[in-house]
Amino acid sequence: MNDRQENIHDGAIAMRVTSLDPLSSDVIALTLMPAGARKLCYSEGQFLSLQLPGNVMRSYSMATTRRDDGRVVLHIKLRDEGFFSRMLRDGEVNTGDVIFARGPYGDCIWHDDSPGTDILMLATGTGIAPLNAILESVFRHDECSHNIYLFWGGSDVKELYLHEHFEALTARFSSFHYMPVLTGPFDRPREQTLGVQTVAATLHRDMRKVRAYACGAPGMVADAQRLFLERGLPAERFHFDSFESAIVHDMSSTSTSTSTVTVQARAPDGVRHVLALPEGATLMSALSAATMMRGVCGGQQSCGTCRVQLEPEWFDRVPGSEKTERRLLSVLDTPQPHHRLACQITLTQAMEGLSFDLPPFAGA
Amino acid sequence: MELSLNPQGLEAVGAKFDIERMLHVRNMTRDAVNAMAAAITPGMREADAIEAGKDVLADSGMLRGWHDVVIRFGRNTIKNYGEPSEPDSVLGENDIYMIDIGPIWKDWEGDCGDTFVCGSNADYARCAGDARGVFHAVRKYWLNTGATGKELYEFATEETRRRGWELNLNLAGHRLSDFPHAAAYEGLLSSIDFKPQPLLWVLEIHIRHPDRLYGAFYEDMLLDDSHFS
Repeated sequence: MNDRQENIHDGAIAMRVTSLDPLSSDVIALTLMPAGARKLCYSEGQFLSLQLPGNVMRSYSMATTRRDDGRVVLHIKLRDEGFFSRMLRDGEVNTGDVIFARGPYGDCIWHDDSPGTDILMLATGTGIAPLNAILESVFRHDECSHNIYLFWGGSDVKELYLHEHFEALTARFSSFHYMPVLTGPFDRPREQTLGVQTVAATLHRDMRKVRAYACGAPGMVADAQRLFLERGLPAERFHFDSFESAIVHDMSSTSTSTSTVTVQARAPDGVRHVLALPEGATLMSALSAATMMRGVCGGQQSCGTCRVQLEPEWFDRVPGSEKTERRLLSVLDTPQPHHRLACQITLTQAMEGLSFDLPPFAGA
Repeated sequence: MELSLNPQGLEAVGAKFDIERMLHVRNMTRDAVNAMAAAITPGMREADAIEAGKDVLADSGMLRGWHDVVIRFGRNTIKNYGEPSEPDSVLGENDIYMIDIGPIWKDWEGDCGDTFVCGSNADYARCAGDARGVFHAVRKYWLNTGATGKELYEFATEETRRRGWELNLNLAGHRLSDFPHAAAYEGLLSSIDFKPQPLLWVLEIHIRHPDRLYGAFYEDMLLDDSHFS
């Protein structure tokens, strides 16, 4: 491995492929074990990013509960035009291969709740993976103190590749309730099919004592959020992970820097983007180059269009703000305690995994 | 005022565009520049003038801006936009200084620049006066002809030269709109090949002495005479 390759993998965890197992006609389980001393320590519900050839990054959720041996299982949907999908179909990934992973990322994780809180889990496709990890952890030993309702949608039961597993879980634990939602093809127009979010909202009309998790198609996630909040779900109790293909961007080619910093940015529509940004650039300039932000004033701490909301655990880890930045932040609409100007954050390796919410694209 | 508002193209505006509000923010911006100028006195550091200028803007609810507050003293008046000032600049008893602000008031952009002198230096006073003079000469040329943006700046270059100065074509006008005009067009007024409409464009005039280290700046919207006293 030459120096440039070492730089590319700085901070990443080496994982060895131990098996590739088909789960359905277009989903495979990729099992990875640590190839070195470092293990991926994650909370169930989180995801990682695989660093593929050409510095292409692809994100997948861990599909099983965390184990002491560091084993990680990913559910990979094989897409026609997918970069990693093509590698898998073409036999470019084999047992024994080493792949580098970064993470963990994401905050769609289990939260303890007061008694009487119902838990709703919604999934489409491989969105089931992070929820399965959470369920494995919750039901590791005994019943859950909450009723958990899992709604998993697909056009056909064959798509629900863990269907029998969840039916068995339902039979074993009275606190677990599994409802597959099949959308067809049936003999009715598509607009009359009901998604998991609609079914869940119909059965749970009062969501004031609910916590919800939604993982899968962005449209389902956005619609679920809208429906559930209308039914009284407190906004902070809606956790989600939108799965959209090939939304990981590698911007390192736009810079002379050979080192990148991987960040995760959640857009206003809920879609999470994992980006490899050039080390040494400001977060604003890198996001602007990726056309994810319009920093109107060009980093002069004047316009506020680069204002991001950092995840709380990152706010204290990023170097503090100066007076000019704080002054501008104080006059912008709806200031929040973890707001920062992206033009004042310079990307360093210490920010590997930086997680934040993006602002709306100014002028869009 | 009649405008032909096209949702596409270089003269596009956003959903919040409003003629009266744009004119109102123009007046607020001009008032802010004058208030800043009144607070600047010999002996003041340029950096402190900028902070005091931000206080003026904050009082008017205009601290947020589509560009930063620019105040330049003395030899810094020849600097290009975005070029850092020479540090530790202090206003002299006989000196020249310029102010350029681009505030945002609610949903609308303002933009205004002017040059002021302190003391009795006649050359500085003429420079500041000529920046305004060139502005109005070009503005009247715009009013009375079908000149394109490109032709306006060709005219401005000649008018500036005729008065004994050099025109900085790096500051060659731009769009203004409901925030952000950058969504429509981030380029220069001097690059357009059609006659610009009123209210939508800012005419920038930055002149410099050909040999000495001082200059002057004036900018305002392209508008008819009724908007200028």
